[in-house]
Amino acid sequence: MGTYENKNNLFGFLLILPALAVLGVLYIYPLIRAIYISFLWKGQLGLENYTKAFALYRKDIVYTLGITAATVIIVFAVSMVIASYLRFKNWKFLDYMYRLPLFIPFLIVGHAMRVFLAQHGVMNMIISRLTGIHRLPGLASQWLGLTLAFAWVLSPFAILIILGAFKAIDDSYVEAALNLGSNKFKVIIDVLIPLARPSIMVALVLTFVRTISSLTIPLMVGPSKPTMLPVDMMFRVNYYNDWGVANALGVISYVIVIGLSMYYLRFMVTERGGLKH
Amino acid sequence: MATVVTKGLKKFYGDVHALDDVSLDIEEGTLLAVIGPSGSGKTTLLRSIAGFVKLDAGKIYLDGEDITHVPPEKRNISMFFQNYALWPHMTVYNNIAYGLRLRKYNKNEIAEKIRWVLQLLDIEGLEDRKPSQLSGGQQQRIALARAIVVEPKVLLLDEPLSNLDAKIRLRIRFEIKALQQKLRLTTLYVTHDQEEALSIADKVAIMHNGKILQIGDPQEIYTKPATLFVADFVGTNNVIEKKGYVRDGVKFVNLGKLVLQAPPNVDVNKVNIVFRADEVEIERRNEEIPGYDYRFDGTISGKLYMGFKFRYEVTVDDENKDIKVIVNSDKDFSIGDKIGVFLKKDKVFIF
Ligand SMILES: Nc1ncnc2c1ncn2[C@@H]1O[C@H](COP(=O)(O)OP(=O)(O)O)[C@@H](O)[C@H]1O
Ligand SMILES: [Mg+2]
Repeated sequence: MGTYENKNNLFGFLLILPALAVLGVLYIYPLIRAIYISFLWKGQLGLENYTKAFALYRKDIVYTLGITAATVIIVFAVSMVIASYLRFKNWKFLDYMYRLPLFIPFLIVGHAMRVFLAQHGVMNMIISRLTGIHRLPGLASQWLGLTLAFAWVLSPFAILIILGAFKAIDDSYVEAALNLGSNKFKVIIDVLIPLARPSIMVALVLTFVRTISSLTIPLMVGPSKPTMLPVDMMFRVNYYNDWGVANALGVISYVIVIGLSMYYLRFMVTERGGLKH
Repeated sequence: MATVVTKGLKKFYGDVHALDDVSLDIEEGTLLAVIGPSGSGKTTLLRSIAGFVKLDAGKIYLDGEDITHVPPEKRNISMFFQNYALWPHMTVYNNIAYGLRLRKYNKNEIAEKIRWVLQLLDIEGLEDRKPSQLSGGQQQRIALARAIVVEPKVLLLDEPLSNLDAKIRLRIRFEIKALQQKLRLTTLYVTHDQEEALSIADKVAIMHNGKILQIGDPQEIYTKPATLFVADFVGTNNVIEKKGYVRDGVKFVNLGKLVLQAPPNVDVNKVNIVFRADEVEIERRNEEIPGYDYRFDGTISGKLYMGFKFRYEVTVDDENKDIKVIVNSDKDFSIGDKIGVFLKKDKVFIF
């Protein structure tokens, strides 16, 4: 019995070994290297890179956090509305449309958003037609434009995850609430969202991580100052060949993401524990 | 409490006729049981009355008012779901309180009503648990409590006992009946268990392929089944299909030496003789039992000990050697014994 289990464990370990190796080479090694380099200043270990990073990019760190938070909030709102709608109503057009950005590369999305949000771009044209207001600011080089671009690209992932979770919830839970006098809106709040909470958390964490680590979109949309950390990192390397500060900025992003992950994991543990016994 | 009337309900899913012209009445304060095999449309009927099915045709009336197009949340008809559908993220208390909060009762009233219903169903002390921390029987009662605490006009029960152990099922059957009578709940009770339906109902409807085949009080359904399907579905039955014949314009069918007259509307090429395993008696071939109208002969070909009775398989002495019937009896015979099977006229149905 014991040996059987040991053998099984060994076999299981062998099965995941390739994945572990890839993870080690592609993820853990670069991570450790990046942390190491971020503390390396003129061949010696020290905090100089961080001092410099904070001195030069404090504003950008705050800006990055702000854009990321705003994106997460907008994505949450949009995905709630669309996932809820599609949970109850079968509207094929919307079902296809929301997925559209999934199949478009970020580079093209960035460019499309630039055109769409420009001062004489498509969005302003439509708004002018509808409202009659002609002097509208272009959003393409503003933080709001950047946030909207992120929201458009990242919402489909969130909707996909949340709608999947909503659809997995048995109809009887929904019908039981309607049966007792609840309306659809209350069913979403009282039944669907609480039961899909783990998936909603995953969707939001994913949105957060993808926003904070995106390079292409902030390069093409949004103001050039302040800008997002990945852009700063690129400049640090390309123009100054300054790997130390670039890696320090990278590690700062990591720390933010890890902080969020800890919160997420703690949430998952209490959630699981709460559901079990 | 209220009366429910449905008129000509139809619901098709592609080629499947889930409801095919279903018309029925549930009188105020009574329990109508709908029985039928799985897939006969029982759940669809229930969900229609609750408002969850978009009907293809027909009307539903509650107290004379047309509610066909009233949304489910405005009907005040409580449904008990076959899988209970207790919300796993809410405590028992919050599950039961849900409908009360929507009805804008204040905190004290809600607490009072929940205390009342928990006491009524004998499940006090579970308020703070989550549904996953309860046994099947407890979950069943909480679901029932959640449905009745809002004082619905109609209670719809979808196979409320099907997920319980056989032993608990029998006891809860009595309790549901007592509860329904005490609260005078207008109730539609769906089950595939004919014994459960007959024992609990004021009226029984038999459903098959989306159609109501017969509706009546339990004795009527049991003693005067209207169709072969009803006769076969109710009770443990023998159904013997034989070719009949016509003599002087009257239809007959033979079973061994026994000659039975068939009703005029049967198809003589396919006559079905139906009787219940419990409503016949057997005796040794050379004996007679007084008080019985019919007799045919056979040989014991199988025997099961059932505890309080024996269950025999009897091969009938007929030109068709394959005819076997099931008979329950407390007399002790052995395999190979030659016996006579005795029946009463009103316990044999011919379709
Ligand atoms: N939503 C649905 N879509 C397609 N077919 C359905 C649906 N609901 C029920 N049916 C079909 O309708 C018939 C009746 O189903 P149901 O009312 O659940 O029967 P019962 O409760 O008597 O077992 C079945 O053949 C079932 O497959
Ligand atoms: Mg059913």
